[in-house]
Amino acid sequence: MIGVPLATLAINADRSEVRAAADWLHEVAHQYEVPQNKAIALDQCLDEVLMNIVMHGGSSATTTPVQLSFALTPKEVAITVSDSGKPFDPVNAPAKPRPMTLEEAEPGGLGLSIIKGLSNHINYEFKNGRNVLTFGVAI
Amino acid sequence: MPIDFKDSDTLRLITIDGRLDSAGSDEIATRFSAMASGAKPSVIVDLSQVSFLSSIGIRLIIQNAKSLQNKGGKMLLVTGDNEHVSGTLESTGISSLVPIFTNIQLAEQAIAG
Repeated sequence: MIGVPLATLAINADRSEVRAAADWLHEVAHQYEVPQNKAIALDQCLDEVLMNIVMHGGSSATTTPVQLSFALTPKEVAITVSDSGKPFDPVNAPAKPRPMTLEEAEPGGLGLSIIKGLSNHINYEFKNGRNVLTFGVAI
Repeated sequence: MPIDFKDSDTLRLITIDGRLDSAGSDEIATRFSAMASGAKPSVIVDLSQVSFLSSIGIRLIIQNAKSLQNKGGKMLLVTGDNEHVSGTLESTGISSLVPIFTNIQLAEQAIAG
């Protein structure tokens, strides 16, 4: 259970709108007295999820707005992101092997590690033609 | 988004301040690459004042660390007591590729060997 959404926001899947989502998140988190370090962890996950949609969601990602919702329970604060981009399940996406040397390091694929490292739970479903991803941080 | 550098004999210290999300990383990318392009063989990047570090920011650091290494140089990172930045670097495994120190003096000592 992630609780009833307390706040929602719609943005376009555009790089220039990602920061507006972060501002919204911090405003709502402050309003509901979410500890700042938890809000930052959510902010980081949200930034990675949105940039993933912007960069890899394909043309269908921009046909409808990306919907964000914020939910809070006594134990967890969670964000749900719904988008019409290419289906992508980050929960079951294979983890990229960690490079052993700088030469081997490819500057990509780090976002998933950040999301999985910072969130306490992550849930994905493809529903009505949309990716619906929820990630939560324990409080 | 502030980015600045200070040189000593063989060392350049680059200080980045602010939010290294996609917009912040785009904003400093050209200046950062120019500053870390090998004018000095050792580059310390101070991230202790960075309030937010995204994978795009980490990519920028890795790209420049690789490019400096290909020129025979070396990049080191300083995180101070910024647990947010050090935790993010740790979660991506970059800490095993680019040396990370808690303060500038320790990074300088590592360079001096």
